[in-house]
Amino acid sequence: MRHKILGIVVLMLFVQQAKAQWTKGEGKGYYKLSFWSLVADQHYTSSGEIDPNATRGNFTTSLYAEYGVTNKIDIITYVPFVRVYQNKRVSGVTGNTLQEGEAVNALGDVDVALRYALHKSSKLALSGSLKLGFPTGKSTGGSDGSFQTGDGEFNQQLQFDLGVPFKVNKVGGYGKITTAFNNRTQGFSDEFHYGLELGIKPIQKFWAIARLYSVNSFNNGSLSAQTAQGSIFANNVEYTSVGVELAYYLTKKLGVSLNYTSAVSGKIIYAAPSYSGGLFLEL
Amino acid sequence: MQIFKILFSLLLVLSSTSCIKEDIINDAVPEEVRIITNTSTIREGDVIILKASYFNEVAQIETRTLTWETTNPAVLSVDNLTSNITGVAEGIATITVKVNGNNGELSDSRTITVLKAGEPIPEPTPSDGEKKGSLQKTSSYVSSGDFTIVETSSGIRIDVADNYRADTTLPGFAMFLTNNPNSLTNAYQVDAFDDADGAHYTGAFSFTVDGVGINDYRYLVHWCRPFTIQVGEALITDNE
Repeated sequence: MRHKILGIVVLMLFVQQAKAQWTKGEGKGYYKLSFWSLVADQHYTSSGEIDPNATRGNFTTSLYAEYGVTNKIDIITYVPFVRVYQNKRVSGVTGNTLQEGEAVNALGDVDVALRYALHKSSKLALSGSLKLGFPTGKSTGGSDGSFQTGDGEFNQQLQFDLGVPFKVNKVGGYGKITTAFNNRTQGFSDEFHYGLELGIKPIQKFWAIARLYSVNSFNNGSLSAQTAQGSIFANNVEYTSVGVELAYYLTKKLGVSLNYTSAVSGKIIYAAPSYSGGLFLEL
Repeated sequence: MQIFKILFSLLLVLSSTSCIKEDIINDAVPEEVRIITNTSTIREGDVIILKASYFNEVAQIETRTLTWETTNPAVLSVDNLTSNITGVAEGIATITVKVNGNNGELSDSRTITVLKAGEPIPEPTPSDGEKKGSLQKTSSYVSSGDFTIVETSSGIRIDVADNYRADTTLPGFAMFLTNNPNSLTNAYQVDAFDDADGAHYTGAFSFTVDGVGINDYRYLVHWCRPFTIQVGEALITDNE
């Protein structure tokens, strides 16, 4: 539940980063304005089963930017503005309101990262990134504290991306493997992440990208539902998600993208698909 | 970059106003009439006002005309106007209250013993008027355990047994007394994660609940309160 809350931030950031194994190059940038929406009336429980919950939604507007400081180093930032809400609950017998709906709008947790090109050639790209997650969101919000836009902890994620470009029957593409270790504070368990990504360019201006991403908890944190004292950002969130993104270049520099991602298994995370769309600019 | 600024403004407006819709909850329960007063013994000449309530299909109390009957007016009389019962002579009688519900006539009964005038009313034993129940999970979260409920001088006491379990991974665990297990409307919170003393999750424990009568509620339930998920339910019955 706490899907809550759910590891959402990781999932949202992940969909921003196509071809992230290649650094931008000095003076070059990639900028993306996105919305991300998830509405869920069920969740994966702590035992991995699916149970219902009051319908909750998360609508996030975000700014994502990559900029090449040198040919080998990019600086990356992700700034989300989050709306968390819960539906009004109405009696099916009387039509009376059982519980009013509620919403909180606030800045989410901001990420800042540095990416370093460890190897970059026409056949292979390997990069390492250090991402810092700042607790700029609300770790308690709404009438009961459960309408949160951040987890209240500062985390540091070390990530490696290995990418390989390819061409099959004149169709260009790339494959990517991601692994990451996320060191979390404030009693949250550390996490191991891995992901697979396959992108193809069947026609000019158009990319189709498929992704699989998995977050796995080390279960070494002290924070529990009992000790969280009302904090709904869950500890020990786990999930494996699959997603598809379509990107189309309107011009050489400007493009649009649509993304569909859904957790196919998980613990303490919403069991519902998310949708996102964005406008990106490459300069 | 102008298009980014415009779109960003639009998205911010969208993100701050995206609509809150409605969840329709099936909160129907069987309607009932229930004798609330917990009296089983009186003496000749004693007059006691009986209280009964009608609970509608969502377990809200509604004012309805109640009809009282006695199986033995020579032992125990009843005044329909005032809901008074009067001990007439030594013996046993059953008092019944009836009400016209939305789906037919409803009734509840109580057997009352009338003692001779001046005879001391026996001290209630621990099992007199005692209630019991057994929590069963209604989701994949843990919720189990037996309990009894007894009257105290200030309310009731809920004694959960050694086999009591609540889910420690549940965010926002809370336990309620309620007449409608499908809704927290009018429910009484007994235990919760944000209590001053925290929540009790495992094993035997006693919850003291002041200001609540032993017949006031029909169910004991476990919920994930912030996400309004019912995870366990127990029907409260007489411990006979």
